[in-house]
Amino acid sequence: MLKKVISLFFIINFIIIFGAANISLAQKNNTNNKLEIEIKAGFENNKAPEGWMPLKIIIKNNSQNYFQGNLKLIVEKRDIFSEIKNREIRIFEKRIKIDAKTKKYINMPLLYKRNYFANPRIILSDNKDKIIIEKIFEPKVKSNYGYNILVINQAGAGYDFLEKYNNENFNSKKNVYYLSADNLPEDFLSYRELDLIILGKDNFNKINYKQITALKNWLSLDNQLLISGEGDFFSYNSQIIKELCPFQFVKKNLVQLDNSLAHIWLLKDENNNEILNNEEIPQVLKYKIGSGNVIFSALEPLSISKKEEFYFKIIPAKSTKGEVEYGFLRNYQELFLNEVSYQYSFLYYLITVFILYLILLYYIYKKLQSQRYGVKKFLLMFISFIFIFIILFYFSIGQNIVEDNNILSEVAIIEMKENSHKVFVESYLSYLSHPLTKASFYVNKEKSFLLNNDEKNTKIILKEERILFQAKNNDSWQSGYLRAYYFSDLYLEHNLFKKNNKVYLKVKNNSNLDLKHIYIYYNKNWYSINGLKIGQEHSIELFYKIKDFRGNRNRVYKDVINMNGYLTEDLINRVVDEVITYKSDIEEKVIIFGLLEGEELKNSIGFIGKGNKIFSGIFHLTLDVNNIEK
Amino acid sequence: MIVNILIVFTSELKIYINNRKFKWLNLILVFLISLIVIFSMPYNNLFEIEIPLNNLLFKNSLILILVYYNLKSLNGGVSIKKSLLVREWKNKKEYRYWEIYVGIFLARIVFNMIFLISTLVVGILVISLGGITFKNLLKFYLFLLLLSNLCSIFGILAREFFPKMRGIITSYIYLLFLITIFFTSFFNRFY
Repeated sequence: MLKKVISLFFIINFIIIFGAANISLAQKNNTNNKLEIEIKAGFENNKAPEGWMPLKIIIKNNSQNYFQGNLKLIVEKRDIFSEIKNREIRIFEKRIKIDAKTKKYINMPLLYKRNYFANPRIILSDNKDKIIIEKIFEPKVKSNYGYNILVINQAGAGYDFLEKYNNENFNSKKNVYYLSADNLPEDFLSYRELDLIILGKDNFNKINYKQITALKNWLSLDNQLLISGEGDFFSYNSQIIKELCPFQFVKKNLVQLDNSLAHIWLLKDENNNEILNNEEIPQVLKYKIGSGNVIFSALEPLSISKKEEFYFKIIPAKSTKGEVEYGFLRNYQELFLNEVSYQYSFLYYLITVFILYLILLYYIYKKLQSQRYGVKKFLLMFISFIFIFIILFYFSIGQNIVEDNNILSEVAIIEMKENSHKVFVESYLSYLSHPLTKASFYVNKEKSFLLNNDEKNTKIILKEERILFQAKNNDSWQSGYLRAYYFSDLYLEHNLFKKNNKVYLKVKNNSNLDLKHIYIYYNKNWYSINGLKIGQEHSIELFYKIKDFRGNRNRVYKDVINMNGYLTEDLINRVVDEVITYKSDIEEKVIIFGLLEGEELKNSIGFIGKGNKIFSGIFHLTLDVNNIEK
Repeated sequence: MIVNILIVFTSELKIYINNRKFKWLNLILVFLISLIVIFSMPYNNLFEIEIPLNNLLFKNSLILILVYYNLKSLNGGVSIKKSLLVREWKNKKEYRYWEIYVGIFLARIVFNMIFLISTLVVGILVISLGGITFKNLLKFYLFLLLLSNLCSIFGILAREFFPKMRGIITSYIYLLFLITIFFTSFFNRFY
């Protein structure tokens, strides 16, 4: 009987194991063929200007089983500074799970430049790292020197005439891109290369909160947006228009205008006063939302020639923009872990506490011996003494040591614009956290964008108000790299003027941070200002058309090298090279570089809880000599 | 029976506690470990080892002390002169052999625990210096307790059966441990 039961048990077991193996094999075979990846890079028809662009990855699972695996986005970069020509950058790596018969959407910004990068590659692999789908895609990019216009409308056409438009002030090439409202990117970086966005005819009710904040963030970087007035009541009764147009839409009238027909919006402000009436032409409203410029055109000419004529009048001039890429700063992040040193700020306290501990220990031993304690009493006394000491020790000093060794280092490259308080910051962060704590960081979700540079060590937790980055496990020292893009406030008052055929520059530090060093590049010469505290001002003479004096960069740098953070001389050199080499008409430009140290910028990334932050930053500001007030 | 074990246990423990030489050794060693830990680097790039240096130093010095103490604590070893052999207990009071062994062994376990607990302060220091995590430390203490108890069994038996050869045996075992500890420090497999 027993034999039979045992043999039956084994047979059943065997069937179960074999069956399970068969099922799992069957699952794999199914998933291999029935997964599809669709990639949309850039705007409509995969067109985009060089630089940042939106990327949408759609993964379809057509099989009956769910799929679990890894998705990677890899770009090979030609690094002009390193000897190895192609360096692989893993931009994105994510574990994904797709249920049967469903789609998964992944939206993110992508940095792509024709001469810098090879074509991006997307790899979908299963749990055992076996590649299932590998897809290479080629974004159709145009050079970024022109005037880039994005039209958001449903038709995906209708504004090509703008490419012909030339003006006295601005005659460079214009590129027009299209996108429909439901495909808008969810982060401001995707819009970064654009100079103007036109909201055309589309259903704006489709736009969600994330897409609105992305657009508003882009706008608040002194950018320009034009609302064409082509929409109807239904589409203008949407959240995005309510936030961008602070007035009421009353009526859309059909009027006769120079032998052709046109629509005109009748608008009212908050106090029910009419803002525009039909007698004033052209019907354009210009106003500011934050620091962004918005133009609302109440007139919608129905004939094509009139429309072209009208738009040539109202299109604003291009605003200046930095076009620099600092990918090499990843090297700094790799160096960080080797160079970071342990913080021993409480060492003296520790030694005294330990000497105290030993004296007490000795005293107790001696006392116990002289009084001839029993075993029970001895154990009780000894153990309670030790534990009280441990608790006191840990909460008085130990905890401080722990918090002191949560280190976050930030190297920020700050892009300053002429006469603007608002700056755009690209920063590279590295962190190291103590095994006893969980490192997590806060970031203002609406004003900042964070990229996880290594998904292996850090995971992202999305909360309502902020993004939380957290180290994955807690057994040992945690380290990781992050990259952040955010807006901040920093203002250097500047005045470039000419006197006796010489150029003078006057700068005043109107920010809330001390500037450690300023150096200026003009006409192949370098000039330096040694530190500028809050409120201080300084003026310097830049030689004009006399080339006898040749400033040496190394001489200017001499005082700069001993920066506290991880902004080394090498990194400063590279940033400077990158900024200078990217400018096409360098001879007419004055470029101001400045170094910051110590206090962090507004909206920067910081620890939740206590931690030690090391900040260093370099800003650059380009001024045009042609714009000098004479 | 239990009373017999307890009598052996308490008298042995009293002798250990009042052992003047051990106390000094204990104090000096705790002080040395803490100094080593304070001045050692939390992690280093000199040697390519995964674990922090103070972790290694702390663990190894504790292992050494406990192994050394348990193996050498024969009469005349680290000097617990008043401690009695099993034979002497048998002559003095007519307890059974296993009662005497259990009593001595229990006393040794408790004493090892006292020693371990007295190093907890240094352990907390190593934790806050990032050398070791709390979980890891507890695991290590358990391992150490097992190891020291095993050693104490060997020590007690060696002292009982080979009273003349005790010096040679223990020094061999001691050497063996030194070598294994040296190797395991760099390969991180032993604990």
